[in-house]
Amino acid sequence: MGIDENIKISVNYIAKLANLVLEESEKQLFEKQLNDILKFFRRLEKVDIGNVTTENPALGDKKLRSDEPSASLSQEEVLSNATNRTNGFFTVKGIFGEV
Amino acid sequence: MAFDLNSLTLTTAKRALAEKKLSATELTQACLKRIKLLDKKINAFITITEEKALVDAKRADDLLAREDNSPLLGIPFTLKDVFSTKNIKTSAGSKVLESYTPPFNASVYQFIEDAGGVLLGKTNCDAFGHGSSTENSDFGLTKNPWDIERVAGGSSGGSAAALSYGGGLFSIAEDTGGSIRQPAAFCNVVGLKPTWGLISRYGCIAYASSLDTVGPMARTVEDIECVMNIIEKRDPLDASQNGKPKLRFRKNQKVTIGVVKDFSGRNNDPEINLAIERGIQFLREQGHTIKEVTLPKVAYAIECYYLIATSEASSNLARYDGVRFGNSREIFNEENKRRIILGTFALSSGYHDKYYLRAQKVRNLIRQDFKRVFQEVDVIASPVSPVLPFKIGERVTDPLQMYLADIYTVSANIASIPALSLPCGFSKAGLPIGWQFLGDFYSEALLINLGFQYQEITDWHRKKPTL
Repeated sequence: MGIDENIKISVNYIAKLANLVLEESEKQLFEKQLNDILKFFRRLEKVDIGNVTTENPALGDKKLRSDEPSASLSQEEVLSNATNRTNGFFTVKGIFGEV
Repeated sequence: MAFDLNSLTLTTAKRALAEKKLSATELTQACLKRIKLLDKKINAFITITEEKALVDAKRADDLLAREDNSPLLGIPFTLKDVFSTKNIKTSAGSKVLESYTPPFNASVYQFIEDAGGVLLGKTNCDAFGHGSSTENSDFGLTKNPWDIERVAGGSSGGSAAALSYGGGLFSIAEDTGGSIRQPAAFCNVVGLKPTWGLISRYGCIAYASSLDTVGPMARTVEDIECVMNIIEKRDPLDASQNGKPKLRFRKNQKVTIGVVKDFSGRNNDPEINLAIERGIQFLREQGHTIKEVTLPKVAYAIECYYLIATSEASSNLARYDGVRFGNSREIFNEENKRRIILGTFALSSGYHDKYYLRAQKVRNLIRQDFKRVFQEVDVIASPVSPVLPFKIGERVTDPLQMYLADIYTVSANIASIPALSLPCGFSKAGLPIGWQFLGDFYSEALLINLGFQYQEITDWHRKKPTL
């Protein structure tokens, strides 16, 4: 199955997946630019893939260390860049709220 | 004591420090003086660590007096601002991390500190590495010291420009699609993108994890070797680190050099083609064998790169949620948002196989091309950029045009192979031209060997900009 000639990126939907809030002007700009870029990428469709896999030969063998606790960052260090903190915790927006 | 910062290299500075011809404090002060004089114009630095540098230089002088022979003792250097430096602001060139101060050090930074290096500051870059000109930095662009109406290249423009004007004797930067090599070529310095996995990436702010490669920039190939000896240390904190460089430096080793037929046929600036042909001729006269090779699948390297890189970036940049660190995601700049959107699309349900997976498969075809060619030749010589350093603003409004100019550099990242970028001439208007040597996995010593031989018979790398 080839890449559909008419594939268009739905910027609204993708922005939601990507957790990005975009201005209307950004949405329009990206819709045009990204669709131009996608047209260019259609060249990949012509390549004869054969039986090639996606295995990465640059990866070495898996290396594991022994499961022993060791020194890490202190709680204070971990919280040091937090925008909001309460009682030694990160504060986040409520997930369960009023509907 | 009098010395000329312009003509110093890491290697000659080490000798001068050992022979007490200059002190670490004098050297650091000279670099800081250059930075103060020039950086308002060039904007190579995001953060200058003046106080720390002077303290470290003084400590280096005390150790030098006691005959301490730490390999980088007293040598001033810079770090691209993607490397975490404990208690020193680290922004990745982005306002999202404008006030981020890491609680830990990147491993390569730690290795250099342990070897006695003196950190001068953190250099400017395209935000999160997204760019080839440093025009996408949220802290202003970096101008090219050779012509301030032109870009320094990217994404490590700050590192290259600082090195070029005397703000340090080496820099550590990072190359995902050419970000060390292209600014090195634009600013007349040397830059090495090592084999993926050789150098620890712990503490390097991630852009695209299967492409990101940490590497050195310096004034000479000899200096590059010196820095590599320090930063290629084994690091238990990077589980992806593997392999080690084959061979050590073998002086005057003659090699077979591949020239890619398709590369010179493209629309390169003719002055670039001329400089490279001349370089090839020099090497032929030195006794190296030149052979024409083909890399047909490299024609698809840009598509592969921009699909894989943006997909991996969309995942890596998901961590910037404004909760544990950093500002809100709305502050990502236009290029960041564009790449996140493209990458999220390429990975999304219904399109993942057609785009991301296909790009990874074509990637392996490109790898196979290189593997075949490296059975015929030891090294490939190629342009770094199809264009000379371009004017500020010339390409930034057309993202596809900007992406296409990465054609010569992305293939090394796609194939995970090492590549050394070094000066090979100047245009009639005095703009630097660089070329690169690519090698098989872990062939850094071969590239350095050839580069060293080339720099013995040329002096492009000794020229400095007039500022």
